[in-house]
Amino acid sequence: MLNSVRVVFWAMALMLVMAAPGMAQEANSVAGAIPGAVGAGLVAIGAGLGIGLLAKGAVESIARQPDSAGTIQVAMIIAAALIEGFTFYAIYVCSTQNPFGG
Amino acid sequence: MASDILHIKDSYYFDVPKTIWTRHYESPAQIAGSFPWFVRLDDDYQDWEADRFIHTLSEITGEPGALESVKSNWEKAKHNHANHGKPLDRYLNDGVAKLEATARTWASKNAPDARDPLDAYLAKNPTDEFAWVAKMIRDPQKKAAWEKASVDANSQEALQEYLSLDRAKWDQHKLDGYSKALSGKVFIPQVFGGQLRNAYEAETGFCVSRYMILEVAVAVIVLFAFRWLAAKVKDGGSPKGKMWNLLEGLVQFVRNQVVVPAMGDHDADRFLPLFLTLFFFILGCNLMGMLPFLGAPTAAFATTSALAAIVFLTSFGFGVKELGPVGFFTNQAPHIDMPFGIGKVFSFLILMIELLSFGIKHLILSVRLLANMVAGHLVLLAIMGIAFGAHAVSMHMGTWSVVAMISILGTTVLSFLELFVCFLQAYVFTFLAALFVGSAIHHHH
Repeated sequence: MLNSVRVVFWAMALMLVMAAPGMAQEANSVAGAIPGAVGAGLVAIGAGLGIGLLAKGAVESIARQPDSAGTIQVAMIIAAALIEGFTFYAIYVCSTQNPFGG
Repeated sequence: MASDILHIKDSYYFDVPKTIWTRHYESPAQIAGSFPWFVRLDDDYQDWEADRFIHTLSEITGEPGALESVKSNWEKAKHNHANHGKPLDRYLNDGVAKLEATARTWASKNAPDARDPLDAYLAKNPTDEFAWVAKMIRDPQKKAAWEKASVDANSQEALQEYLSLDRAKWDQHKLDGYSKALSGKVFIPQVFGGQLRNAYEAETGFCVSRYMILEVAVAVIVLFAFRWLAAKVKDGGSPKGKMWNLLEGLVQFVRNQVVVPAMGDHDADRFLPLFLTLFFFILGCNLMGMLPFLGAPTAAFATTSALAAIVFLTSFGFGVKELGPVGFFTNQAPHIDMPFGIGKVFSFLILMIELLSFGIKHLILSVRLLANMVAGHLVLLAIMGIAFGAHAVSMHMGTWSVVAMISILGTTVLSFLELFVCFLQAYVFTFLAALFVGSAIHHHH
């Protein structure tokens, strides 16, 4: 029973977040920015996880073979820059989404 | 060109401390002497111009009823951020253009056989606020009169007429506001005859913006620095002194750690001038963003897309030159060995994806550089803004000074990160550019 309570709770929370922009009557209202903000948050989570995994792999490899620390560092920096590149762009695009705005 | 992206804007003036470049205006005629567009943005002037325009329109149009609500509609529309400071004639022109575009798309879906899409649309939606304008300009005589009225509203004569009126004797409080707004802004003289609409947008013609001047400055510095270096390298043996060591160290770094690993020894020297130029130009432009009162030209989409376009043209041009036009495309698609010719289908699909990715990876070079520069400065602004916000909320010295100290500390640390990002982004751009050019001219598969 606890499980179904949990499911119902999460379903209601999700509905409130997703439907809030629809319930907001006026254009340019604050709730219209919720989908964009949620998207930006998801992008941030994705990028953080990705770069975190990258850092984990890099640090473990350096620990295994300290001789190749230079090469690994360079590769890590390049991969981090690539991920960050589209992350910033995606965060910007998500933050300026307001489908119900005037 | 200045554009609206993210408020880290290009502008048509240089920002300097207000005490160095103070302006003091005694009358709007003085403002109009140097900045006619600033007077045109004034509320009082726009109000007067709107009245004048409506008076001219009432003589042209056959529907006097529509004119009653025009002014109030326009004033309501000006509350929207996009319409801020828009004069009435431009508002009506934009509205008519939008109405015609909407009518065309509506009619292409709902009434494809209609002879006139605008008529069909207006039959269904007769209460559009720009309907009377659209109907009025069908008559060629009225259209000519309308256009003449628009030109006249924006002319020098209209401005002079306003300045001669009694209502143009603005009180000192208003003029002080203007003086304060324009102090500390050194406007760039527009030598190419461009007209400005406001401090951030151009109206017509080619306007010289702050970023353009900064880019030229970076280019000149890079040119003279490396001419000096070339002279030293030609004569001397090993480098002596700080500048020589620094520049030669950077050049060696770009050659051995960036271009050679990406392109191989064989072609590196052929393309090295291009990559050295890219690296030092981007580095210089990024570092300009760390200097106060200047700005990073790479924080404008125009600059970064121009740089990415150069890389795109290089890889495409040299790829076609090395491998031939057909060979270049077949180089992208691998040869897959599968029975019954299915391999050819897969190869073709992969070719489509590879072509798409060829375009995208060059485009995203520009986006990556732009986003890193803009985002860094945006975060810096946000943290500095904490101090200003605290000041606005609580003037109590204790709270504000603690918050301000934390904010300054944060700003300093972030500035170090920004410095690192400047170098890193120049490096990443050059490395990826070398990678793309290298993969375009070498045979794989």
